[in-house]
Amino acid sequence: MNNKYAVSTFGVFASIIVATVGIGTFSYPNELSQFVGTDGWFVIIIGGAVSYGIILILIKLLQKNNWSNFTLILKNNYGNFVGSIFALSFAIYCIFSMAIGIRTFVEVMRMYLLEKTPTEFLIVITLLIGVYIIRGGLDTIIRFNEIAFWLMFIPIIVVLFLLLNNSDFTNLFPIMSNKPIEYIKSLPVNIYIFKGFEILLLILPFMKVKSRVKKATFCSITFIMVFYVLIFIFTLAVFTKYQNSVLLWPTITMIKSINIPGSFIERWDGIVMTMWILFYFTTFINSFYFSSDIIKNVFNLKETKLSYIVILPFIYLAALYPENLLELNDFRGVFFQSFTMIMIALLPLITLIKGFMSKAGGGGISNN
Amino acid sequence: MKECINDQIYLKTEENVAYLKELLTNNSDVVFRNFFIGKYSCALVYIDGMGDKILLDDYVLQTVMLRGKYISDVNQIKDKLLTVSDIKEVKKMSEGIKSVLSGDTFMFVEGLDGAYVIATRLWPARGVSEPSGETVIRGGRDGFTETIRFNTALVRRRIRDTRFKVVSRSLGVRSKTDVVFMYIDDIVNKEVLQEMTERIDKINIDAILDSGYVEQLIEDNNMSPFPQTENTERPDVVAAAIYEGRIAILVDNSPFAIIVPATLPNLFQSPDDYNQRWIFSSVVRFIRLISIFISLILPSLYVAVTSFNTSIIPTKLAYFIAASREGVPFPAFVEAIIMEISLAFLLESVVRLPKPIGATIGIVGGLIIGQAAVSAGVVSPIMIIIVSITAITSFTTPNYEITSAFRLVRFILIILSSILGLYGIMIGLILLLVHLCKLKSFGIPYLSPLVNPNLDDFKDVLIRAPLNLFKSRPKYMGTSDKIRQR
Repeated sequence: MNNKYAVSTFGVFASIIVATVGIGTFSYPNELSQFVGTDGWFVIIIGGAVSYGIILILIKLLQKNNWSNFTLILKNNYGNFVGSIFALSFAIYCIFSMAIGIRTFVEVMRMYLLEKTPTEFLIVITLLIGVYIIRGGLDTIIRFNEIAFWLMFIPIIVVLFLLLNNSDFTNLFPIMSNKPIEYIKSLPVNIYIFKGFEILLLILPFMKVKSRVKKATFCSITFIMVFYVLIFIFTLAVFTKYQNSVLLWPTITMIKSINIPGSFIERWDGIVMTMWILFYFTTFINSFYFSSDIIKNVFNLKETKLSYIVILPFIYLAALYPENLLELNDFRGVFFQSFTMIMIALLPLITLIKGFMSKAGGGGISNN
Repeated sequence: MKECINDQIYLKTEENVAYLKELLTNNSDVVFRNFFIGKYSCALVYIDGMGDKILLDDYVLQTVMLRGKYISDVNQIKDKLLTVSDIKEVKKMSEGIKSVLSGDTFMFVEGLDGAYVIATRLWPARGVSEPSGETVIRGGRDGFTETIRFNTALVRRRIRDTRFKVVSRSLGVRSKTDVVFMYIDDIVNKEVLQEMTERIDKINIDAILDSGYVEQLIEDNNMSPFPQTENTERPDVVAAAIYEGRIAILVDNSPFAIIVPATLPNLFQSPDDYNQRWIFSSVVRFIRLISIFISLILPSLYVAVTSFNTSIIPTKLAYFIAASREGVPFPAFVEAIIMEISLAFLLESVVRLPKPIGATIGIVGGLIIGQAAVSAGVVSPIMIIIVSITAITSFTTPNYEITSAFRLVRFILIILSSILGLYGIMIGLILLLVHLCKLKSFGIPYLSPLVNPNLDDFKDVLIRAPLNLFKSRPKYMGTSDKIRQR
């Protein structure tokens, strides 16, 4: 770690949250309602617990390998060539998840704010801003995360208060009325909303106080879980489970329904959509930087500058690949979900096991 | 041309005077005065207008001429004869010449190994007066002047601490401007101090005419519109900063002190915040925050709402705006740019003009042209209101440089909003945020303590907590002494 920069505990906490809570927030109440109706909050809690389990694996992996960076861990465990391939496939996963995110984001944007602007133009603009942000390096991104955390969640609290007016919490009942198999079936939705915490593979090696790793990650996952549960409960309270399962983006529609008599702003969705651009940007730049960093380490480049130029066209092409929203939803279906699981859970787990097996109690891998 | 100064001081007064006369030839304001102390030939060299003649007449020449005959040895002159307090012996000619050029008096005595420099600096100087740029309701009325010694004295009157240090440097190959930096030794962040000293020592320029020169030469990122140092005319602001572990730089001939490192929240603070009751100060802080935000986005919001996202405002208001824009030949973007540019013209001309005419320009520009533009149908009345609100809100910030920086950002936001509407504004704000995240001032992040937050530091950012809660110094400054109040 030639970089002297050290990430504070709050930096880790905020980064994991803002990298995880993203564009999925708009659509997941719909998907959960389709599967389990009123019991989505339970599934979210299970999802949170599973995610924390994965996080513990990732932490263990880093700890075992002397807090070295992820690419190096892979290279050391599998040899230079195979390790590079694994690292590259991880980068490809990041690129795909970014591409799906950017396309969803741009489609939402076009629906609510800019009806006539072409998709390609919006994607290019968004990518260029991403480049500007990650040019600042890791410390800028962490600082951006820290500030974005406040800017994202304070307005949301205000919005939730405004929603109390037209919500009916009896819509939450009945509780736990589904067959157990339904809960298991709905678990993949969680993959989409909880992915993003893998950013800790990038930032934990730079963390200042390593002893607080578990506490910080636990707090962030709890925060994310509570946030998702709250949003889900509110969408249920406002819409009931029937309407929830037909709306494409229940969260946005919910905010649109805010109507305060005599207020200056009539349609809150415009304002809130503007605020929520941040939600997207934080997930985007974090994975963007992470994938650039992986590419840099795989090819032993000196700077991330070259690697993000390499990545840019791939994101652009992948984002434009689906013709429309339906195809986009297929795109992030079973295949992408299993890809995600393999990348953020299975790969670290196997690496960890391999590490245990190859050198029982041997010294940690040296830091370069 | 290289300056050739002889380092050696001759034993004979005549040789010294002849050398100086040759070196300072064609200078009508240099005064040479030859006289005798007893049998020793002596000479005084000073610059007319910068030396204190009364002091030289009454306490140097008078005593040495009347009592010079009692002196038996040349070394007794300084200790038994010269009735001045600030006198020092120099061995090098170059040192003495520099002192002469600063207003001191050079005294040669025949047979002495070296020469004397008598501190006689006195020149017509502006007295301490109220700083015009930073007025406060409650607080000291004294401001810095152009004389560096007065300024250090003003600060030292507020810090009577043995650990308070006033380190001086001479910058500028030709101007040899005195630059002083002040800090408290056991509070200051040593890394920042070292960094700043290195940057100051690296300066190699012919002349430093103002503290603005130093500021620009030591700044971290001079491609940014945001000032990464704080400048002030107020000694109480400097003292408060020094107590927080920051370093103040004073430059001779400049009434502006520079304070490093500066963070963005620092630039939004005024001494009034601390001298008045905390509830009121907190409200004022909040008002400042809102107003800077309004001044930043109001014109671009107007452009976005009228051209792109008409639906977010109530229908009645949308109709009202549309009706008032009826007959205006320009799109909202052009209208906004026209008005913003005229405001910039107005501000600039008011600053440049003499004060009595400035008021006239304000009336002509603001009232007459505004009224005429509306009735001629060039701009809509709503736009005039927006520009006026923007102008008023942008000046609630105590720091002028930060206002100008935000004015630039405002233009960029107007352009972005004309391309992408509300999304453009948000993009602009994100870019602004990222730019601010990237900035550092002497190793301290510019947005501290908003980034890398510490709960303790928030007592003095968005609100100003009661003074008895100010137990510790700002943590983000990395001060050595952390406790402020027990």
